[in-house]
Amino acid sequence: MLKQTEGSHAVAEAVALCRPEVICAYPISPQTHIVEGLGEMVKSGELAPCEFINVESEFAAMSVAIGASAAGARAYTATASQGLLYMAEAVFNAAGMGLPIVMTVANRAIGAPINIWNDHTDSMSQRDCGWIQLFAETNQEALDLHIQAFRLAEELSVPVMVCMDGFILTHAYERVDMPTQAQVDAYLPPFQPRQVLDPQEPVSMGAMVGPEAFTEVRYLAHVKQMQALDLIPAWAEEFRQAFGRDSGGLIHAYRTEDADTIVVALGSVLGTIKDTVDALREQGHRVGVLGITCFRPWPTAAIRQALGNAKKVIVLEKAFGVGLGGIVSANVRTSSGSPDSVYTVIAGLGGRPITRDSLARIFLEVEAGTAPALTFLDLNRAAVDRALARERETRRSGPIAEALLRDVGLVTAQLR
Amino acid sequence: MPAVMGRVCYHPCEGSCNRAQLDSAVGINSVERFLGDEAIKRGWAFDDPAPYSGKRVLVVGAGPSGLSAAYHLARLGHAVTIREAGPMAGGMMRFGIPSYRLPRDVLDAEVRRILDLGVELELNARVDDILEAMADGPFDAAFLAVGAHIAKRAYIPANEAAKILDAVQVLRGMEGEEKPLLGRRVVVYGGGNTAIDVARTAKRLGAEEAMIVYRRTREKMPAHDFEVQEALEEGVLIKWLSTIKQAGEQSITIEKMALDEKGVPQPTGEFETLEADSVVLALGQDVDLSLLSRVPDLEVTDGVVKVGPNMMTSHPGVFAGGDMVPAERTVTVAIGHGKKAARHIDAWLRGGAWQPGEKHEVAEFGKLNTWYYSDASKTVRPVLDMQKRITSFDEVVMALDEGTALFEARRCLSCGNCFECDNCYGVCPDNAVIKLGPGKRFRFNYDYCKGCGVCAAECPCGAIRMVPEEIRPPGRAAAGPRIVRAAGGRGRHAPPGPRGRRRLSRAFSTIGPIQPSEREKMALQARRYANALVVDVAGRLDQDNCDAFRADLMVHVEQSAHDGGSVVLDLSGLEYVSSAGLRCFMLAYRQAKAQHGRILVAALQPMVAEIFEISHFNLVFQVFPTVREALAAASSDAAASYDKAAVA
Amino acid sequence: MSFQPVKFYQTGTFTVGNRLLPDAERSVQSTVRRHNSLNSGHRACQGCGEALGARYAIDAAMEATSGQLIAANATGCLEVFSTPYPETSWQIPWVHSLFGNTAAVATGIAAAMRVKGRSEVRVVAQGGDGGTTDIGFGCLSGMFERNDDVLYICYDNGGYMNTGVQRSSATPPAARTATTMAVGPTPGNPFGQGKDLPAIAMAHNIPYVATATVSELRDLEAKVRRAMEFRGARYLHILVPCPLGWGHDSALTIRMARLAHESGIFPVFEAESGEVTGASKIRRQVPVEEYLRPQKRYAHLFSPKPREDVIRRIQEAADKNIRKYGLLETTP
Repeated sequence: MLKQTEGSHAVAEAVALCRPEVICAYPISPQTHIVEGLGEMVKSGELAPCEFINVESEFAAMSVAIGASAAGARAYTATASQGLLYMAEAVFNAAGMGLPIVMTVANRAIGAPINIWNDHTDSMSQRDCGWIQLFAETNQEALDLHIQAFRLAEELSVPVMVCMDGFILTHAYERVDMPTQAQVDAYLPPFQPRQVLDPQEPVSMGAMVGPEAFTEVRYLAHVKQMQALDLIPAWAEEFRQAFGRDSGGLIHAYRTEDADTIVVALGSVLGTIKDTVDALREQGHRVGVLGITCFRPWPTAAIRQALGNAKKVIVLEKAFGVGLGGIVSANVRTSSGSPDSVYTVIAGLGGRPITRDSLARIFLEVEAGTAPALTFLDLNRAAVDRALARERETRRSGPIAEALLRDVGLVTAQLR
Repeated sequence: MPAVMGRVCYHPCEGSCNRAQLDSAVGINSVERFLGDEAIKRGWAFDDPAPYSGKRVLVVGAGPSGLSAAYHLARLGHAVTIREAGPMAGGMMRFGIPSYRLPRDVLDAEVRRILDLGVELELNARVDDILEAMADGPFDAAFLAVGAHIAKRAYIPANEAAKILDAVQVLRGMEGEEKPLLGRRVVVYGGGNTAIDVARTAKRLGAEEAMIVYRRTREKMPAHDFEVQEALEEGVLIKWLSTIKQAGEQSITIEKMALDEKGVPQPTGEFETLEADSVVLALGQDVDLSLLSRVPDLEVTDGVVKVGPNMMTSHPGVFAGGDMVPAERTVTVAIGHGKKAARHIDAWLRGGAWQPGEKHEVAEFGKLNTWYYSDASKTVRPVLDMQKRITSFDEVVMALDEGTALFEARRCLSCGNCFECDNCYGVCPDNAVIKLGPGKRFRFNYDYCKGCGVCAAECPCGAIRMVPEEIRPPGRAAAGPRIVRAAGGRGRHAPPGPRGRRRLSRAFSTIGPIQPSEREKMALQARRYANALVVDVAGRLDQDNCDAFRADLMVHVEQSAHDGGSVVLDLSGLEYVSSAGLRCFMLAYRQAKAQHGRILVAALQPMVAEIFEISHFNLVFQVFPTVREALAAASSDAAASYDKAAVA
Repeated sequence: MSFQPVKFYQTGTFTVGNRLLPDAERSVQSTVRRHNSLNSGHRACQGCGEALGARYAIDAAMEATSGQLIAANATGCLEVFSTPYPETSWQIPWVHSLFGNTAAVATGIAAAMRVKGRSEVRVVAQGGDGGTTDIGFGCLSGMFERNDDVLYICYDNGGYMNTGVQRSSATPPAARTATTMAVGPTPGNPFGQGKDLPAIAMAHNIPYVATATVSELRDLEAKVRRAMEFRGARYLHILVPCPLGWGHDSALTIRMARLAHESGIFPVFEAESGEVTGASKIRRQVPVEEYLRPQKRYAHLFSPKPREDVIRRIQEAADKNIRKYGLLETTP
């Protein structure tokens, strides 16, 4: 059913269609609308049977989900940013125990400085925690990915994180096609846990493993994710047949067949990039786009194939490894025939707008061979230089962020 | 004779009762009396005696010692005849103890029950010559317990009209038709329990004044304090530090005494005259030994017969006990003599000697954990009201009822004696205590016991003792019992020695008796194939039998697993192996390796295979599915030999 | 109190069992059919109070729920000594997640049971004092406030024993630990304000809060039984002496717990909906010194220079407990 609705609410409705049994909620922007929506559905009785638990922290949210999942219930929660970090210990734990929890991460920057707007630093910080990470490009894909995520998680006994850009998707009202309950039920079988806490058949879960087997246990977690590389495209195809649209899968390629330059990115920014590429194509530049939906497991083979014969690869990232550079880029280089031709563009940090102009400019620079390997898009170099100068001059230079904002001035600080 | 002893025993047991250190001793005496009275009331009978032994025993004297011996001898299967010089059975219990302390119907009932066992009692049958009596019987043995009925006299210058009697006369007279006539004012001379009995009897016979004259102080008085107290309550007067110098018709003269620095009373030369209608001497009794006059080589010292530790006189077959042998003269001792003598007589008649069981160690108060006992003060026995006490011969001290007797019995701390409170079972942090069920107590599972000692510390009654774990060098057989029990039972005792260091102290006592059958042996069958020896290991291998197993196995290993030789362990019959058993395997493995030999294991049952895997023994040992395959790995000769044997 | 002591028996009802008692009045631990939820073979130290407390409590809970029980366990001694794979001492469904999230994990399990309509299955969360009063405090408070149907059991041995005896917020004043060493002018743990978790639990007005020790088995079992009669959040705080951390002879584990109660150091009481409903009276009162002296963690109070001032402060705290909870028979 087509409807015009907020991204968060679309996700909430999709999650509800997946018949979750335990939902743990703790508010943090920009995820909050999702659990609010679910809470209302549970409270009204629309979603039943389901336990909606208002916890006292994200750490508790994930922990309650762990308990519920270990006891055989389909568990769901959502978070963002600081919340994801606050639950980090439990996030690793859920993966280590192989509990098929599904969690939405409404991507948002990590403080300090505190910032509520979108980038990918939160999800990227947890990229190696053992969860499957899927990135949605649109609200339609976001809601579709949740339906696929439950099936994937439960089949493999691996938790799945569905990442969607905070505000840009979560708060955007768009038209989505909401599936029916019957469609979802046909696609998503009931939860059959591989391990469950049951007085009839007592087991001990989460006990210690020593050096004699720790490697094997961890390796098996890796194997599960490798299995996911086969399941994800297969079930995306099944989804296409059942629901009539392309959603999910490992990657989405756009005009890459003959491209000399391919821009790689994750999430909602792909739309802007595609528009930019369309414009550049019209100007005769052979540029293509590769959207990565499945960031973990990393689809090495699919990406290598998609990058094909491209001469240059631009990875546009909304997070970066401080002291290194691009995080996604580092992954892309492992799947590229010529790692030196992979360029990193860091963009959109803390919600900074990514404009077509800026994108076109950097794409052309890369194409022309004038761009450095690592670019921070639209960086105010003068303000940075002044900050560094201040630090050289004054020992007690004060909080960097404050001084920098005074320097750039209120007007320029506003979003363009 | 619990109904008798529950009344007249001076219960020295209560004096050593540990409960006295908590609140007050358990009223063992009162419980005994309750049980004795119940037995009479309900007509309880003894079990049938043992089959007739063909031996006849003559008991001379139907006092407590003679009755006791007769009872035990009869139970042991001997034919017993008691000859009593007097007209009634009971001896001093009848003729020495007043009926207000021991009602005669109680005594009669107790005697009746013994006679009901088949004991023959001949009254008014004085034995004048014991050897003749034995020959006439004929009797195979005799137990003499004629008591001490001859009152000692002291010389007191007396007027002819003075009425001087002795205590034996008075108390014996109480059993006849004619009660003794003592007058209004009675003086009793002496300081023992008999003096008290006479004074109290005099009171009951109507004396206005009953006065005891005693030459020492109350502290020195041999009479029991509670009896003195009861006498004083009843109005008996006691003149301390006084001797009778002279007795007249209606008065006596006494001399005051004073204690010298050694505590010996010395005359002061100070005199006093007291009114007295009669004087009763209670100065002790002598034994009438005339029946022994013709017995040769008899040792008599201080008017009593000397007996050996087995209660036998120097004449074979003639035993003696009670007041006529050197000992404390109480009913308690007399009854004990009877029991002891009966056991020796029984053994002597059967051509052996009776060995008393080993005394278990004393469970001192310090070994108890008294926290677990509820506060419960001693039950006070009701006492007859004073008016009735001094006007009748009704029993003064009354009995406990069923409720109070039960209460009193349950005040027992059961020192050193496991009463299955389940504490050890409950407090073990390692669930290493096995509860065997009602009456069977507990065992310890040494595979899981870590030796913390909580069970021993929390045992209320001190029935568990920690002993150091013995760690022996490999190849040596187990030495000495490791499983011991503390005070209170039939088990063996730990060798003396200091407590081991706690960390080593793993094995400790069990409170349930361990039967030899429980410490099963593991017999090792072995068969040889060329240079390989196949050893069968079967059953369960655990803490209980691992020492024996190791000792046996080591012999095989030392003899066969050296210089290229192999020992193959055929485990097809092994159901379970504990960590203690695995340790034996490991020690055998090391031994074989040191000797340049090999140990191979074969035919593991699934359970044992799993244990091997968990403990990684499958990585240490070469494990083969069958004995044949193990032998093939040992040497081709061995395999060939095995095949040949199989064909044969 | 939770049970009526039966008088007139050799050992009253103080022992684990008593063959003179009717079956129904005997302790769970005295029966051969007890569940041994925490079974033999675990790797706890000699005389471990926590191993004992856990078996007591979980066996009682198993009895009360007819075996329909799931446990969540915090990181710590209990978790480590009971399980390393492939072995487990647990005879019940058991999950360990993290150090600080046990209450929340239990909430999740309870929610799962509720949503699946299996309300007969009850949930226990358990952890040490570190996992309860420190790192797990937030999750525990949340569980209390929501009144989730979980019995949380804290096995309090007064420190982080698993990591080598460091101080927790439950470490008593003056006690020596690896992070409150017995050196300097004020050796041992400072006299802080304390963190009275049972009182904090009561402040949440949850249906049931109780304290217990391993020295009073029947009381402990009665409290677990009572706790299982309620739905909602319940809290049981059990004092479990630690021979390693406290430095007492391993045989004295139960004795130390008893002395903690009999000296007033550790008040044993129960409360319903935030109000104290009963306290276990002191039977034979002892001065705190008798409790302190056998423990090496207090050795610096006795030598080289006796610290009577410190002992007096500890005695004052005990006296305050005695007054506050009316622990003496004569106290109104």
